[in-house]
This record gives sequence, C-alpha cells and structure tokens, in this order.
Amino acid sequence: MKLQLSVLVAAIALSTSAMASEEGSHHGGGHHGGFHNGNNSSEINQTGYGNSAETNQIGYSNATTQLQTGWGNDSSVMQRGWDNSADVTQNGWGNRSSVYQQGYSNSTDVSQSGMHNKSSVTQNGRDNYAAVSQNGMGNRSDVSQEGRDNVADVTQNGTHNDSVVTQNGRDHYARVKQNGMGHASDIAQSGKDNVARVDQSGSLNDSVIVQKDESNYAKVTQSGTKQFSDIYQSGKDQVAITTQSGYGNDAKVVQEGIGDNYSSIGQTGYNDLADVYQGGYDNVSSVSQGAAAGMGMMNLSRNTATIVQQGYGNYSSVTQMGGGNAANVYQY
Amino acid sequence: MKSSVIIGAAAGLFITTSVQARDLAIGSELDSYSGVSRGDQAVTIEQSGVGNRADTRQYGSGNGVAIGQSGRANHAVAMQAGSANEASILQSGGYLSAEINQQGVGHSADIAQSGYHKQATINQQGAYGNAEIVQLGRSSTPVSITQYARGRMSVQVVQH
Repeated sequence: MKLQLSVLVAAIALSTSAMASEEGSHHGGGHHGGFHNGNNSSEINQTGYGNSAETNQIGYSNATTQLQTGWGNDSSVMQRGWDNSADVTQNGWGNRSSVYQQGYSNSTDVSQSGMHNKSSVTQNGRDNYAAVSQNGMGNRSDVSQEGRDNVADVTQNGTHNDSVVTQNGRDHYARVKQNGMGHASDIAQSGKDNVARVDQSGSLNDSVIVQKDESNYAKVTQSGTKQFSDIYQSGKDQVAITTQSGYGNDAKVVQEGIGDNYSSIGQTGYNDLADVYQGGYDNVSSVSQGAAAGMGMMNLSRNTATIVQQGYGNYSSVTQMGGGNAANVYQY
Repeated sequence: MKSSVIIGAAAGLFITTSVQARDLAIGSELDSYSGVSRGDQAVTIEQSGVGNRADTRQYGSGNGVAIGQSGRANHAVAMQAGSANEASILQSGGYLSAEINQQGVGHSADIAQSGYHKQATINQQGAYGNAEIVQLGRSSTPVSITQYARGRMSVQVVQH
C-alpha cells in the first residue's frame, strides 16, 4: 500500500513537471493559440510526458511551430485562410499530430521520430503543400487533400510504416518514399492530370496506387526483395510505370475504361511476376524481365509475365532474358 | 497485401478497389471470356536463355504475333481465332518446339528454326490459309502441317 502511494505521488509530480516545461512565446503560446486575422505566429515547445498542444489560426500569413519531445504527446493545428504555415516536430514515443488547413497556399511540415507516431494532414483548397517525415517503427501518416494543385510528400524510414495519401480533384502530386522493411503505401487519386510516385527500398514493401478519370500518371520504383506493386487505373490516357530490381518481386497493373493507356513494367532480377490487364482500345503494354549473369538458381531467371488485353488496337511487348521464363499474352 | 483502398469524396464518390478481386478478374478472364472479339492487336515476345516458354492467344481479326527465342529447350505456342491473322515464330538453339494453331479465314503462319532437335507444328482450320516452315540445321524431326480447308490453302516446307 505504501509502495502504491509512492508511485501515485511520483506520477503527479512528473505530470506537474511536464506542464511546467511548456513554453509559449508570441501570440497564444501554451495550450491554445488565439484567433487572428493575419500575420500571427505561434510557437509551442513541450518536453516531458503526456503533453498536448493545440493552435487555431484563422486569417492569412499565420505561422505555427510546435516542438514536442517526450512521451505521449499530442499536437493539433487548424488553420483557415491563405499563406498559412504549420511546422510540427515530434520526437519520442506515442506522439500524434493532426493538422487541418483550409484555404489556399497553405503549407504543412510534420517531422516525427520514434515509435508509434501518427500524423494526419487534411487540406482543402488549392496550391497547398504537405510534407511528412517519419523515422522509427509503427509510424503512420494519412494525408488527404481536396481541390487542385496540391502536393503531398511523405518520407518514411524504418519498419512497418504505413502511408495513405488521398487526393481528389486535379493536378495533384503525391510522392511517397519509404526505406526499410514491411512498409505499405496507398495512394488514391481521382480527377485528372494527377501524378503519383512511390519509391520503396528494402524488402516486403507494398505499394498500391488507385487512379480514376483521365490523364493520370503513376510511377513505382522498388528495389530489394519481395516487393509488391499494384496500380489500378480506370478511365483513359493513363500511364503506369513500374520498375523493380531484386528478386521475388510482384507487379500488377490494371487499366480499364475507354483506352489509350500505357503500361511499362521493368524487372531486373529473378522469380519476378508481372501481370497486366488492359481493356479498351489502343492500349500498350511493355514488359521487360531479366536477371544479371550469375543471379538465380542454375543461372535461370524464372520470371513470369502474363498480359491480358481486351478490345482492339492493343499492343503487347514482352522481352525476357535469362532462362526458365514464361510469357503469356492473351488478346480478345 | 492490403485488400482495398477507398477514396471518399464529399460528393459521395467512392472508389473501392479490391486488389484481391482484381487478381481474380485477371484469372477468370482467361477461363470465362465470351465477349465480342475485336482485333487489330499485336504481340511481340523476345526471349533468350534456356527453358523459356511463350504462350499467346488472340481472338478477332487482323491480329499479329511475333515470337523470337534464342537458346535451348525453348517452347512457343501461338493460337489465333478469327480472320486475317498472322503468326510468326523464330527460334535458334536446340531442342526447340514451335506450334501455331489458327482457326478462321485468311491466316498466315510462319515458323523458322535453326539449330538441332527441332519440332514445328502448324494447324489451320478454315480457308485461304498460308503455312510455311523453314528449318536449318541437323536432327530435324518431321514437321507437321494440318489443314482443314474449305478454300485454297498453301503449304511450304524447306529443310536444310
């Protein structure tokens, strides 16, 4: 009983110390910032356990900076207007950050390091920019953008990180870079003239890109072992580029709709799989598979390519080097 | 492998893509296709090495397939159904096998092999087909050309 009481007293003292360590400067420092019309800035610096920070700014040219170091921190920034910026840095365990921006020409920069961090950025409007950098295990980033001309840039290092980027509108650009093992990247875009790029290195990484409507571009580059890439595009004038190096990689591309789609899969390694389905007219599929000399069992590549095209005016090209390869092309 | 990605927009636009379902769609496409055949499609396959296999199937009219293989123990199969289709297989190396199956009118099939232990088969069913097999090298097995003709068919076999 005496021991439990001692622990309780220690916890209260620790919590009080953490609250006291918060530093606020300029307008609205501490837990809550104020509401202003413009040209305001807020800076929050927290070190300790169980801290939380929240800043709300409405207007234009507002700036928010939040720095949290410690355990179980929570951060939330909401900005409405234009030319606003939010800079959030979290170091430690169990941190969470959520930034919501509405308007145009807003920017968000979130940096998290440690374990079990989460970040969610939601932007509505146009010409918005969101950058998320995460290092450590179990991180997750959700970026959702609506409008047009928005940019999402996510970088994750470590293991088992997960990135989801959703963009609705047009002329969006999403880029995800992941290094390590067991990463997952999902990019969903609807509209036209959107660009999605994914770079993954390591092993057991997974990339899924879904694009709807027309004139979208998806590019996936993976290096390592047992990587998975899935690109699904519906509409017309879509482009899908997949490049994989290593072995045991799997690339799938589905393009359906009106047609005029282009798919290119390049795999340098062995025991790779390439599957392409295209529907409509004037689609082009190009698959290149090959292993460097000395790679694979008995110097065989053992790659497999399967292409299914349905419609008319479609073209399929398969180039395989090495040995033990299989090319299956079916046109209906 | 994640099972789905969902885009949700305020207007109620939802795209749900199941990667697993998509995989099944690719597989079932081959087994249960019964749609309208179109055509004007082309396939080019190039393979080098040992033990490669190429398998193509085309339905409709005006389709073309060209398969090139270099190395040993390679096998190529081309199947075409419709009209005015063209198939060409070129192989070099040893222990080669090439097979072209065509059904319809006005098809053209060509197999050229160089090396040793070669096997070539062309099956045509329809009318106004043209089949040609050229083999260079030693140990050529007898070529097989089968035509079930309703119209004029032409055959040419050259072995050196």
